[in-house]
Amino acid sequence: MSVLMPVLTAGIGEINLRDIDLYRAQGGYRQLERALTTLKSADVQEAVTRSGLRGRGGAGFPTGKKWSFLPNDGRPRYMVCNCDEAEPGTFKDHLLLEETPHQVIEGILLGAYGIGSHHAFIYIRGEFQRGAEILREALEQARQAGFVGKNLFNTGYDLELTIHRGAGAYICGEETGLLNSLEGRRGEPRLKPPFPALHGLYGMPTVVNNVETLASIPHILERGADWFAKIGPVHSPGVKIVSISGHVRRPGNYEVPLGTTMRQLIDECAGGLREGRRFAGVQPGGASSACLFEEHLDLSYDFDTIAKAGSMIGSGAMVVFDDTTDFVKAAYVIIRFFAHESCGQCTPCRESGNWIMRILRRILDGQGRLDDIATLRSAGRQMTGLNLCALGDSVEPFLASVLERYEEQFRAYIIGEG
Amino acid sequence: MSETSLVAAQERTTTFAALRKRLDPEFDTLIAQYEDSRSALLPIITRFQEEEGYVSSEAIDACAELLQLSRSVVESTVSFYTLLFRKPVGRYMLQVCRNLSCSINGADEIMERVRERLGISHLETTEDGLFSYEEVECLAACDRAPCMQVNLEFLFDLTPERIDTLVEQIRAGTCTVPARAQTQVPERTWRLAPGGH
Repeated sequence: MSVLMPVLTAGIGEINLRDIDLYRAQGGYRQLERALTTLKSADVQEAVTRSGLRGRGGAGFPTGKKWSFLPNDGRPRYMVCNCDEAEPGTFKDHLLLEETPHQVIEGILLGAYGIGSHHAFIYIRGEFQRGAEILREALEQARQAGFVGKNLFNTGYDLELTIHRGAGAYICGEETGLLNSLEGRRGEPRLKPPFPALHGLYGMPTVVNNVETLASIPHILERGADWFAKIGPVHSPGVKIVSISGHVRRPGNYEVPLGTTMRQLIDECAGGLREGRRFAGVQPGGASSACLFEEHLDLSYDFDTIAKAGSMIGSGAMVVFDDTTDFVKAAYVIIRFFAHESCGQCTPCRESGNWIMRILRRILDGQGRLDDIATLRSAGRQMTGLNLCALGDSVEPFLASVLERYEEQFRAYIIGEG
Repeated sequence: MSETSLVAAQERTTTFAALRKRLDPEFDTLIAQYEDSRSALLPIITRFQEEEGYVSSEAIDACAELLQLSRSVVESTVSFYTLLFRKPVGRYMLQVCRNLSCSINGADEIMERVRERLGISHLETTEDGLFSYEEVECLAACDRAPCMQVNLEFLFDLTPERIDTLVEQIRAGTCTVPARAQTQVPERTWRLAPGGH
């Protein structure tokens, strides 16, 4: 039996879901109508809470709980959908945006209604030009159909959705960096607290949710919170789109119940490794996650199990490495990425990223020194926990994990055998 | 100022004023989308860049005026984003992914071929102003690695031969990706200051 369980990805490649009529023929926008006409905002929120849905953007925070932090003080509220997908190895929101734009729109509108917001935004990374165009067309269709705008379904509820494009900056995927960018500022993360729930967009109560998180809501309403809650592990329930890339035969997006093992994901979904290659490691949750190895392959792919193993599932991006991998080069590529994307506000992140990158460059160029290994070990640790946002803390895990397992590769470069 | 440069400056003022007049209604719509007009900063700057090929000083001034911000605030904000070019670039912007999934699937070979075919490095523009080249971070298309964008359109499953074809097509004017606007001759690099990686 296949481990696949297509829910958000159902119909992709078979039906043109960009066409509003075909999307509606699959039951699309029915939950929006049902929610607006028969449910209170609190009912939607209750369903999301009961489903156990945890954020699909990386942090895995319970979505219903995030919503519950909004104060009841009469100020306007904003729902912001985070489509700044840029965590290396992640390409699921890209797919949802281009292939199921109406599902994305319906999810955002339901999320906005669930928190009692009348103005929602979607922040799309600047590189997704085609995706933004597709969404713009879909939004126009939805507007014509009366699903966006004033007095939805004659209920008196107004709900606007604005598409906002980024202009190139990984850090805008961090929710407060995103809000600053959406306000027309440099995308620098803000000091927290206050969290966006109290002081978000334009200083108002705001929820920022990932594309996949919001796109799950129509299905939770359609099939029931209990249906979702019963899929996978109790504390990490539901289906998840896992982006698998690297040294596998069939890289791609695979939607599975959380709790599927990494071995199943790699072998059954992605077709296993290429001919004659051996498994060397997997980054289970994007560039920020520590590498896991052979002994971890039968672990359940869910938020808590992978965290307990010292890594994270993050946004659901698995990068698989076979035995041809140069882990010194891989570490350099990852560190260069974080050094490039550091916004520069916090000294440990700004300086250490560059420093570690230069040490790795020197090692790759055959100029390494034996004490560089000890320096690499301590440098990453020294920048952790000292920054405004998680970027600075993301620099160390991958490097530390591959240095631990493949120290001989680093040594070989240094003593001239690399 | 010499007479020729004075004429050029006057021409530039006239051209920009015409552009501004044409775009102003669009800007009104953009600004009206937001509770705070400053949110329209990136959309406005992006529109100017689409029209002029880069973010000109006149565009910075116009944006500051439209949003009632200081010029330095707009300048600083623009400098934060890698897809905004403060100096002119080539008519074809080639952005090859250098991140992990592409890197372990042959991106080095792709980047080498681009550099070799164009005779330029990361963050540089060819002398004829046709190509600019940048090695960029993850483009969220790792299942089709190695990948790149040409004027923000994706090319997947790259091979060095595919790069040869692309460069030939662009040179022959047969590439299906539309060229970027180019209103000024680009210099060798669009970097404002040395450094960067």
